[in-house]
Amino acid sequence: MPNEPFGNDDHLNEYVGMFEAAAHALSGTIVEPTVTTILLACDGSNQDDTARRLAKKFAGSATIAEIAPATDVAAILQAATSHQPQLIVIPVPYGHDYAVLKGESLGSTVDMLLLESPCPVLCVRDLLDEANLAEALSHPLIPATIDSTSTLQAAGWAFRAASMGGRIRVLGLVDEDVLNEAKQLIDQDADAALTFVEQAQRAINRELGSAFATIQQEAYGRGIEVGVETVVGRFVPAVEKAMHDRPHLVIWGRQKDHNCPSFHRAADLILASRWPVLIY
Amino acid sequence: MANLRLAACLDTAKVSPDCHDCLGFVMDVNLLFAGADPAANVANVANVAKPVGPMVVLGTIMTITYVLIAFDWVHKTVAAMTGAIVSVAAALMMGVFKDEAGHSAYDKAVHDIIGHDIGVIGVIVGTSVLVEIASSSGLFHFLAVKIVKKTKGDPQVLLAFLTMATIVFVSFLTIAPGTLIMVSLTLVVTKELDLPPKPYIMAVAIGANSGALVTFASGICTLMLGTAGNLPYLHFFRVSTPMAFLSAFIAYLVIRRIYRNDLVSRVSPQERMAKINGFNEWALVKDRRLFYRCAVILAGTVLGFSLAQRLGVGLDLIAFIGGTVALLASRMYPDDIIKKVNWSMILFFVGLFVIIGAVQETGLLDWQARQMVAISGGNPTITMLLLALFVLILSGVMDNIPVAATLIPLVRSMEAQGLPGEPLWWSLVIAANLGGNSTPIGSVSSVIALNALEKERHIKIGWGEFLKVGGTICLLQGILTLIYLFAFDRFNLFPLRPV
Repeated sequence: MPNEPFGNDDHLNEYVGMFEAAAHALSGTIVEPTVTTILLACDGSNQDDTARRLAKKFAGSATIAEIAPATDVAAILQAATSHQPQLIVIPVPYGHDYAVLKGESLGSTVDMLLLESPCPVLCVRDLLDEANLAEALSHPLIPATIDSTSTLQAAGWAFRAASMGGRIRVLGLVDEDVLNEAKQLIDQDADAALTFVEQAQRAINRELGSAFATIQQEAYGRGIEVGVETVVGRFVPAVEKAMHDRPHLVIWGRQKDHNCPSFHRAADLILASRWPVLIY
Repeated sequence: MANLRLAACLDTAKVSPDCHDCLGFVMDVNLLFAGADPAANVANVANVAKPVGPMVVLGTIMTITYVLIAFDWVHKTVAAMTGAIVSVAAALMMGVFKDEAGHSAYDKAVHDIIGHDIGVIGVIVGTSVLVEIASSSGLFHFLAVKIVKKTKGDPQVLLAFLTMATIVFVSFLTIAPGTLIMVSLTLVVTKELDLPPKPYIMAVAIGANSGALVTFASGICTLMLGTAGNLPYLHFFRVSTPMAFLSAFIAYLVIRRIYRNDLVSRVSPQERMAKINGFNEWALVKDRRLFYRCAVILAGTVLGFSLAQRLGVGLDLIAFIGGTVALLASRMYPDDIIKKVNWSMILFFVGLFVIIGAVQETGLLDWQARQMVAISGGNPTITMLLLALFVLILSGVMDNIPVAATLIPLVRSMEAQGLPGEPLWWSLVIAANLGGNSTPIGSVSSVIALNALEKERHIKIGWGEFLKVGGTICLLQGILTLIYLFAFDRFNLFPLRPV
């Protein structure tokens, strides 16, 4: 048989993957986190005001406990022990405040907080006016990869953020770095490598099919818009590209292990993002 | 005698419109085949008094290009573009196109020809953008699973539903995207239900060509012929839509008969039910908001197509409005969508149009049209049936798009000879779409479906098996087509096009 010459069958792999996912997708449940207390850890930076407004918007009827200046991770963790918050909001000044360090380091406080925090951490990056803040909250973005700790848990936070209306985006991501490592390990030729990418793309659909189904079903019930897309690319650039420089609230689950890739991705995401990043 | 003298002219490369012998040959042919109207004959003589040399040279270039396309020796687009370049060069060297004041021969050979067919290209680009966005919403996949769940996993009901769903999806999404969704679903469903995929894949591959007959914009070939023949959108529902369902019903019956031993499930009805109900269609939803918007835009575009002639605008404008509104409404990054338009196919069309335009200018296609009318003795009904038969056979051995593109000027020429146009255009629409069912390379849907089956399940459907199934279906559909067209012609059922 001759190949289809105009590339009309380019979507075959993607579509078969989608239907395979549908064949085995289970309906799960999304639990929206109950937030009674938010710990606001201001550090005297320009971002404090944005962090305060963001915490207030996120809180709803919850109490906000503010500690300032919060430059010491031990103090923040101690406050967390006493207030038992469900979320810590902290400014993590964006690159232009510390141009030399841009893209290099989050600073030891945030770094340690990500490792030690007993609850999710919402990092406030750039200064946001009221309109951008509202747009970010109403547009949560959930990158979902094979090593996502729980896409459904992220969805719970996303539903909370977008509860006043908005649009949640779920980005099923086939990480090119992971693929390249795997390809080198098994030393495949170019054709096989292409098939390998296709298979990986299909696998991510299969893996995340249940999560996608649950999120869409839940969103339909709540009247919230959800967009699901699957892309191949390097993790941080792919997330950045998906945002198209428009305000989003990025939500990512990390494991509390400094050697774990999901932890490094959390740090990389925060470093690269202008918009707030929620790490749970 | 005229032919002998013409041969002498060809040998000495002295063919020219001024040569009495050459002109005499053309006049002989014309007087023989042009019908009974002497006034028309005189007019036609003036039209076709063209040298034979360019006809032979450009006709040969076109034939070689088509052979390359048919046998897939060179990528279709590259073959068409190369053929176009060689055709233009040959046509300019042989003086087929002449300079006019402010309008060079080159303009006439390239820009005028492409400009003449730009409407078709515009419709393809506009609808491609719209379909790409509509497909990415995932709701067509969602609906496909919903439909399949209604079968409760029964093998025979599944065959009927897949055939029907293919027609519906193709009619909205055009052949390639519609087939791709249905083929993907078929591969997964048959695997889950432990059913042999062949009968279902054949049903999708062949049903898709019936689906292309449902509306004006259901298939590229249909769209091209509808535009060229100025066939109103709503007339499709009166002429070709019933044929779409009748031909699909024939395909269903034949496939059910030939594969009767395969349409038996090895698992219990309860197990089948459990497996089919296990499909969670929500996993396929990409964007609900986008789907609703696209559904509205698709409906608006269909309405626009049906009103285009009354509004005095081209279908390309309607398609462009649909595509642009979809881009605005989707809020997707436009570059991501625009780069997915099938530019390779657009270039293929451009190349094809240039070749055919050059050949047409030589007068060869007019001459061929006269041959066909002559064979039928100038009888409109017989001409229509012969045309249908010719296209049914030709579409089986090569892509139906070049077949249709070449026959467009032929049918125009027949119309110019005084034959009623409607029966000819409709015979072309129906035969070009259904003719592809006879061989595995006759239509894009068969190529997609068979390649997918081989790639995903490592199952081949060879030429022998396809000819047995597709050939039988095509034979029966061909007979039905001839009867259908004859009945429409006999009882004056072909709606007249607006003047």
